Amino acid sequence: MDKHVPPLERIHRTIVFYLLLLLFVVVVPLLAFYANGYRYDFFSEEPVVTVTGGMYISTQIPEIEIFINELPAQKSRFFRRATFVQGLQEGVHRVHVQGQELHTWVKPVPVYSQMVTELFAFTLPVIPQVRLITPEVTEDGTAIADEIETLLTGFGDINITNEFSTSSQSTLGDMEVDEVFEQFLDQEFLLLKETIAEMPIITLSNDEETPAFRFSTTSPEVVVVDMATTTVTSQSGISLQFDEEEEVLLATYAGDIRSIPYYFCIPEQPIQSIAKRYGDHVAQALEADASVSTTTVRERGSWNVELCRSSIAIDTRNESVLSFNFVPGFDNLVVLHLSSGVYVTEIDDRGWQNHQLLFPQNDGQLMIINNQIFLEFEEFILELLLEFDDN
Amino acid sequence: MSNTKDHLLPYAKRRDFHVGKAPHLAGSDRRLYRILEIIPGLAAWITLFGVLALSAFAPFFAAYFIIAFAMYWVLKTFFLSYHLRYNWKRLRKHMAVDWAKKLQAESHEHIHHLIILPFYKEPESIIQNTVQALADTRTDTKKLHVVLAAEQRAGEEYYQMALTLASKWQSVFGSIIVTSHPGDIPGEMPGKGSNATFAAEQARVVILDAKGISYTNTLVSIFDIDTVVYPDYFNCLTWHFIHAEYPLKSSFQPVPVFNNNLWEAPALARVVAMSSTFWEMVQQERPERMATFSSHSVSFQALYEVGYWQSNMVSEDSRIYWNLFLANNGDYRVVPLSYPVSMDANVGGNLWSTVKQIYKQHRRWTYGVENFVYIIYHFTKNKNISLRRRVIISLQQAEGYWSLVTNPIMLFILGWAPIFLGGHEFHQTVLSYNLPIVVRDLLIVAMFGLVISSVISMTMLPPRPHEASRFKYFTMSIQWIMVPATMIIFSAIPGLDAQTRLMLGKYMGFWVTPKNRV
Repeated sequence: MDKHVPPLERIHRTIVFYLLLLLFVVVVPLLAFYANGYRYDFFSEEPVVTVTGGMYISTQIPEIEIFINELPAQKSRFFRRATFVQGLQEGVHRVHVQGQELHTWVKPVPVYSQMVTELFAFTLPVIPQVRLITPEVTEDGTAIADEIETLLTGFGDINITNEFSTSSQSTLGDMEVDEVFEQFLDQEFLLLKETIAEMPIITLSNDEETPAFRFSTTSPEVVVVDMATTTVTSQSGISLQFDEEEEVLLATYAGDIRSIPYYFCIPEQPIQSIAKRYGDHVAQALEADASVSTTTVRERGSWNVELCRSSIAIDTRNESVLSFNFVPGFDNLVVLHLSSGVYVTEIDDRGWQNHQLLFPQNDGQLMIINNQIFLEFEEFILELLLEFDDN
Repeated sequence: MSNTKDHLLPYAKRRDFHVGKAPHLAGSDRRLYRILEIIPGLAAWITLFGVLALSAFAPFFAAYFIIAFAMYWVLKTFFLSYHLRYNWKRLRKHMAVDWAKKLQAESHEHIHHLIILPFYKEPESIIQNTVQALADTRTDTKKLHVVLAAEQRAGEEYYQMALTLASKWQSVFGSIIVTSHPGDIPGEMPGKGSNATFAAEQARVVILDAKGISYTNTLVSIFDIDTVVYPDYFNCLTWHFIHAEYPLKSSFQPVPVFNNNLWEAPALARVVAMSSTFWEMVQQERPERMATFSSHSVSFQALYEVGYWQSNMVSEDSRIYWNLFLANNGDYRVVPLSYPVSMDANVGGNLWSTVKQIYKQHRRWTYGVENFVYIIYHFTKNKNISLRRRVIISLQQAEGYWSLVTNPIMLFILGWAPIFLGGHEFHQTVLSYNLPIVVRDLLIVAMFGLVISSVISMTMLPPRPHEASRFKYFTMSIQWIMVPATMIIFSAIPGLDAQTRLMLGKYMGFWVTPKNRV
């Protein structure tokens, strides 16, 4: 067909333009309402518009499942370790996070209209995971651990993640001293260890106290962090402090109100509502703090005012606290060395604080070296792992 | 140029008709022109910083604005795709038409074509290809008069090369001459415009007047030196000229496709080149908004009436349209041919030099914002054009140059600004969490337009050379994933660069795009 084709007729273009303009005028307000949490339930008997809120759930590991009120959460994944759930009615929702062979993390979480409640869920392996560090290793780096399995009998299931063998099974010849072990037990430390061995175990619930000791670093590459007995401060400005008078371990924040961690603050509301949504302990703590001084409880925000506590009590399970510190890499998790074992506990006490067992032991020196948690166990050292070792 | 101005239209006789920049004027006109030069860049920067400030001080409003803007972008994409698809069909139909046969029914033997080919230091092979394509057209080549427009400052060897070339083709064309544009003419900016103007005047005397060819029967095609015409181009052009409602008040715009070296060019160059083609195709369906771009055609009479192309500014290809529009008091238009001419995709010696060249080329193209200044300035002077028309054109031009620079940056980068700058109270809201999700989902919908682009681009590919593997079809289809990045790096940022230079009075010169046909 040898026909010249004229350009689009202007009337057609104009019609299309105005149709699209109409679509814009209709859709943009709907999008704005949707983005603000408004939802229209098409399937209810009497369709109604509700205003919903959301949750932002960060997790320690990515391979987990999230349930809200026993139902799998409909979520948008921002990152591998964070999930945004929206469309939640205002009220308290029970969140549980679980994974295969992991502890379950559970918390009742209040949700407010058009607001997002932030939370962090941690899940440690149910069976404690440890890496065995021995004074001697074979040429290929295999740890030599005579009688380790016998020694671990009585501690329940413990998974040693690295290969080990006995001296009788190992190739004779030159055996190398494990470098980590060497770092951990340098001469100076050995000297101190002998001294410490003569000291009583520090129990914060006892009257007997000994001054905290410090281990020097053996080299610039080795960073040794004390397990504290009185005070330790994280990089974000949160302090863990043992209140001797009240015999309670407190997480305290005294920094800029604009940077205060979310779990210190709750939206301003009547005290009864706080007790119902967050637990009596939070309501009581707020009332107690407010009665101390006007600066103990601070306000944040202008149109969405929040009440922010200065300190949160860490649940120590009514046990003696041998030592404590922040979990390496986290300023919202505490590693607690209690009389019944080593636990990881969250500071966030909204609802309650989740505890998960890291290792079942009640003695032995606990130390953090290069952001790894080590526990002295007989003549060995165990690195306590927070996740399954994929190696 | 003829020494008298008698041939010029009345408005074209104004001293400020060929203004290139504010320093070319004096007094209040200079101040006005300078203010107008500042406006585009200022508006762009205010917009970009404004979104940032809004995100920090009014994050809720900024969030609603960004959602609305993302939706606007989706609908604009649909709207432009609608035009693109229609022009694609039109282009294919026009390429299937036997224009030579169509012309047989028309009286057209009186029509001559003057083809001006300005060049600088391009390789002889490129010029050879271009001239060969002219010789291979289905038009009576005796009606084609070719001007190889050399630059004196390029050196004698290029002039001699052109002379040698011309001598080989003497018997093929009606005329083929070589001009040598002096590099020391006062008031000129070295570049395509000044060279073409010099060549046109030479051709007027040496070809048109000497052979008694009427200016009104002569169509001038100004082509980049790498332009390869399709065999029926001049027949298509002639047909449209004959059938134009106002042939002497019309410019004729083909669709530039960058097919000469498409198979050899890197994906980045291909995407940018085809994006330019698609934009021109969209414009072909909106002729009332068109200006001329790159290679185009116009009657010699119309050109002569405005003194040819401006010699003192960069974007002479678009400026000539506005010269003609103003000189004819608004009674001037562009006729879209929906027929292609093939040019080179911008390719450097390696990927980095390709990136630099594309950036510079697009910066030169987007320096076309100097036309916005020219238009608005003369709209305050030429009251013979209706106020309504002046306002509409001003708004269209302003929106075009503003959106070119700001839209990609706002969409792909500043969409995240409220999230980072909005403050704690905003961060706690469902709106702040939903903002990136809603914008992302809208952009995904908009990206479906890329599927259309990919399909259309595949149908416009030239035949695959033997040495190019079939796998290249696959890479050519998925290369469109780069569009969000190319829109920012090769459109918004060079546009912002160009507008900022104009705003600061750091006037640009003409940058010659190197031709590296592999």
